[in-house]
Amino acid sequence: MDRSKSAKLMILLMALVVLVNAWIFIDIAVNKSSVDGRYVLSERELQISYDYNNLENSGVSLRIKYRAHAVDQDEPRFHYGFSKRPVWLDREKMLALGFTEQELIDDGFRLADKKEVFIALELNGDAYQTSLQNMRKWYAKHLGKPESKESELKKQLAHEEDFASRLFAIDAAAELDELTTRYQGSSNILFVKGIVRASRYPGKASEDIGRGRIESLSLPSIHVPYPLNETLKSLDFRSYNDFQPSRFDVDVNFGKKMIPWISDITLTNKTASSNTHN
Amino acid sequence: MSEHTRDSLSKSSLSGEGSSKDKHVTDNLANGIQSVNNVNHIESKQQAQARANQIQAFNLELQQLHIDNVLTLSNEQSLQIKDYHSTLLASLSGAFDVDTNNTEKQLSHGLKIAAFFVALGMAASVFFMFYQFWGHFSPLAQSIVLLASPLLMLLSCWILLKKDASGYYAKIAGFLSLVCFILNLSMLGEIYNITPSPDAFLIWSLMSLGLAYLTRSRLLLASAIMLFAGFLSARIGVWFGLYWMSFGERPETFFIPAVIVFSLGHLSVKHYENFAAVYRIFGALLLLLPILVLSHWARGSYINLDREVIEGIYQVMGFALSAALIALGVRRNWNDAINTGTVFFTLFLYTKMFDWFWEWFPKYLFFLVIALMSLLMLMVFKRIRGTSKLIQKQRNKAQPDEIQREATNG
Repeated sequence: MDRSKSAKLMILLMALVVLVNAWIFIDIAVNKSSVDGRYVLSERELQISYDYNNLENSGVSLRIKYRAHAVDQDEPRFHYGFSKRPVWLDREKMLALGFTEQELIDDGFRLADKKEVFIALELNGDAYQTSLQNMRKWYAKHLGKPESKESELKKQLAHEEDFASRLFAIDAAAELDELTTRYQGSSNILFVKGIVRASRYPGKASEDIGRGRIESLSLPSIHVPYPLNETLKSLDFRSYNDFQPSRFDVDVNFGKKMIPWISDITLTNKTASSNTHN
Repeated sequence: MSEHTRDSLSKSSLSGEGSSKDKHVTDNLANGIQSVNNVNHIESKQQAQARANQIQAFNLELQQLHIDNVLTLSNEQSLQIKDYHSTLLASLSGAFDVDTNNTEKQLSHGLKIAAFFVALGMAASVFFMFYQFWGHFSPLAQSIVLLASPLLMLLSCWILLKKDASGYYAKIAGFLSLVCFILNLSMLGEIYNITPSPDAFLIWSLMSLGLAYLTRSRLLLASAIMLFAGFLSARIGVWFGLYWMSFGERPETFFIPAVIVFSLGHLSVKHYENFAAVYRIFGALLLLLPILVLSHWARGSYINLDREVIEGIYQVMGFALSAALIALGVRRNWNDAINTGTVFFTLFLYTKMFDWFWEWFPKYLFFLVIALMSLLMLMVFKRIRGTSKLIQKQRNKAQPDEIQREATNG
């Protein structure tokens, strides 16, 4: 390639880098131009990422902890854990999300397809209250029974009341507009993208056929920018289902393009300092 | 010069007509020496290396002809040829850093391997260095570093391209530019919480492709092809309603990228002749690897048939396409296609035999069957080789007639 052609190509490559970066920054600016949702989440809903413990990664991110009223188990203490087979994600909902009958049929060997959809996450709302009531009923039912240990029952109840995530996946749609229309006026609903796949577990009942499961959120964690990350660096890593009170509150904003960002982190310990950043 | 000089030289020298042609040869050589410094007609390192190899082969053959008493050049002629070649090789070496002897060639292979590891090592270092320190900088500082790093690496690549004729340092800088650009977009996504998108693969692929053509790097071309295949495969998945990151679970989505990439291997772009083989090899890999996977793992198929039927279809396709690739390679004289086809044909054969016989046969019999099948393949390839030689002979036979025809017309 002669000198002039290679010079032109080099300029094109540099232009590609600049243009793509410009595109991203414009996107970020448009997103931040209006705050469509502002939520205060605690450590109950946001877990310090495991990577933070890695000495070779100085970045910090917070993993979103969400639950769902699931169909798998009978005991309420296990209802809202990792399973992510929500009761509402039944065959009809899966069809509405764009899955075909064929994709929902378990033929024994074919891989289940995944789709990216919009998920509504409710923060400290009816779903959490239902969960709390179920746990209290379960506690009352088992209290005093010879096979139940009182300390264990109390621990489970305390977990639900004080430590477990209050963020519940309550609905999903193929288009964002469907969800925003459905939950118009609700200030405790977060709209995020998530991955759903046909669950294809052999169901105990016929209504289990064609059910789906939430694989993960498309953006499973939120990055904590400097200097807010310094606030979290004094804290130890905790496991997903920890029986300890929350140590921080996080202000999470969602912009015009549904992209979240953290604007403030406050340590809930009274002696801790607060840090603010925009 | 010098096609004419070279042709005249080889034709008259090898004809062994001796002194009657001496004057003609000397005249041509004189013309050649006058224009030996002018290597402008050679525009790429590949062309220059091909010419250097040709000179080396010519000298070896001339030596052999002398030993066999077929042709002996006069001292004056030998000296003139030697002078001419020395000057030409010096010019080629100066302009394109070609290898002028076997030792240099072997060292060049070592340099390529070393350069590959330098590129990989530095790429990993850049990546981990950013992770080590990024948490101590504000988003603005992070963004500036991420934007500046690919731009600075591109600039370094450009400077090295002009300063270093061998191109090794420019290739390393080119590879690092790509790595910095990948880091740039992926880290911006992480910092600003942007949901991942397959379009990033297309952008990286374009960058890698541009750098490949700029630095003549096959490693960058291979990266561009893989990134493009990743993008298109993910997009095809999305068109079928899948989540884009599931493209690895559906090997059939690689078929269209494979066909596109392999088709590009038919185009021989001037100065980038060795790129065609990369397109063909990766096109074949993108086609045959998914077929190999599907021939044993029908779970990933879109075809709505029984498991055995799907796997059977892909097994037959695997054999047929690898055989077709070998045949195409023989016809077009593409060693890369023959080798890739042979590797996959063998893989399909052995995996099938493992399926059929491993549990059923005692081990000695299983390996005997493997040996017999390999023997059969050996015989088939020997036959193909014979056919190939025959085709080459016919071509060689036809060539003098063409030259004669051209001379008459010209």
